[in-house]
Amino acid sequence: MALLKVLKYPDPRLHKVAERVEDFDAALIKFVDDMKDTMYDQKGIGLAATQVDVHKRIIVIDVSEDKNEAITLINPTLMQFSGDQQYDEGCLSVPGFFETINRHENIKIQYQDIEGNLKELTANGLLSVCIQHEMDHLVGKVFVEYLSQLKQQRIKKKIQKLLKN
Amino acid sequence: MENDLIVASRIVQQIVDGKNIDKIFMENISAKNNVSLVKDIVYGSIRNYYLYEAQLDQLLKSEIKSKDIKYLLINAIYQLNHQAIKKFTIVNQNVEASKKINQKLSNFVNAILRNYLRKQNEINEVNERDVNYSYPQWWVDKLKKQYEDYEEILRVGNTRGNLVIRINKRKTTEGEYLDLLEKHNIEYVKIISDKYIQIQNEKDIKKLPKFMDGFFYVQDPGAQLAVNFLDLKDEMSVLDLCASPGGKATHMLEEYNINLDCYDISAERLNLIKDNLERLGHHAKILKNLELKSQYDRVLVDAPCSGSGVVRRHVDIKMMRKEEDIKKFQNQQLDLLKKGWKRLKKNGKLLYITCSIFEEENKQVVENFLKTENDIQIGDIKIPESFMFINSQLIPNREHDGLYFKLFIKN
Repeated sequence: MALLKVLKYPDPRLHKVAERVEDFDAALIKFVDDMKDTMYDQKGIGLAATQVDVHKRIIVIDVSEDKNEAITLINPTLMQFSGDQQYDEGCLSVPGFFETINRHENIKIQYQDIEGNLKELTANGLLSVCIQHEMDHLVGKVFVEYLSQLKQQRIKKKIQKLLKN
Repeated sequence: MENDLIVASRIVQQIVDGKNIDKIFMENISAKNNVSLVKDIVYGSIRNYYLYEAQLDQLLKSEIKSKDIKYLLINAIYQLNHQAIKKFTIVNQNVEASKKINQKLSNFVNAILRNYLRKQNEINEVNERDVNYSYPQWWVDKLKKQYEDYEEILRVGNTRGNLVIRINKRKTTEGEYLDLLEKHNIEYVKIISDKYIQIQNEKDIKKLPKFMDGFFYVQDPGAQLAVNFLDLKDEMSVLDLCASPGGKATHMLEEYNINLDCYDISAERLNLIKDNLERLGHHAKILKNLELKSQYDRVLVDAPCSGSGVVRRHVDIKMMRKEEDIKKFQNQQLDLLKKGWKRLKKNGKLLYITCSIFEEENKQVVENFLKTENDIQIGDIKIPESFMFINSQLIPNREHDGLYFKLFIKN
């Protein structure tokens, strides 16, 4: 088990756009395992590779109560969406902040599993929110960017203060 | 004269009702009218419409029933603030005009305007601060959320757009054309590090020398940046997906020997491209249908948008646009990006442009696009000095429009 270092907002590396995964090899399996370990260790329900400074389109998610139903999404693409929902979101890269964000209620995505097989997934509720949040990371977007400039500035300052101490 | 004022009031009324400004002009103006006077009043009035409306409200005890009279008064307030004519002449002319609309209301018009002149300073002081520079509230809220210096952006949108021309290198040189301007007593200044030519004392572009010979094209400095960002080389195949009226298409053809295909969703607007290509002496293929079999080295998606970055040129946008429109534009923009992407070769580049300053149409559309495909990489854009960019957003100022540019490379 290896834990990875999670980048903290406003680190500019969080705004890089991730590239497609081409090689489905042992290194990928090892990396995904490390991502899961890091997610569980930090009590998160999702983690995108961008957050650990690897700019590949990889997401791990586990929204189950017993933390034993991890999903790995590689090269996810959004195919369909409908409806609206609101949820108080938090993020391992923005520790200590929870903000209400508008998301699609239902989504359908296409992705590859750890072996490279093409699959589809439909989701609603928390899983849908979580997938959208992590897919944002892959395109370089952190959830606080949905908030006003003023709020973003305030959050930036507080986190920078926190990291100093 | 009176007739011009009445026509102007009817045009303003229809713009406020959300009709297209160019169509209304065509429908309402006759040969008898002084077109430049009517235009001056309409544009000036609409540019600060909410301000003048609020000022008028302060002088009224109850709402005006006659719409023709209401808009006549709003236009008169614009005239009293901005036209270099004696104030009492303006009042008298408007009173005369009101007699033609409704004889009974001419005393009322006279009283309101004289009252306005008496209280002008007081009224102006209160409202210039409060009316948020004549924009719908949702518009102000959006910019406030997005830009620290949103008030300056609003202010710029209320100024008159400048007239900037691009010299057609294939027909003349800059030096030769500037000589021509001087010979015709047309004043110009070079702006933004002396790179762009701004015409000072002529508004009618057809009166500039060699218009029909295609020596120049009217284009904002911001829009002239697009061709540099596309990283073109001679012999490349290029698709301009939203080509009308042809400003960027003709610019590309002036700079490079490329094979250009032009398309636009509006067949009517395709004719505009043909006219401009012909006038400037360029050749491009006009596509009637978009077929999938062709693959291009470069694709330009200059997408339809709210136009929020060019309000100083299109004053009616502020009145016409509704907040709900933004979602429709978003869907259309994403759809066009996907269409363009399908027609792009591997390692090819696609440039996305809007003339909007709303992040919903720019950053958000880009993010959504990145989520739908797996083979997109963001390309670098070399931002020239003396242009103010925040990330990919060109911030509008007095010298250029507000535009958004994003380059994508296909992996």
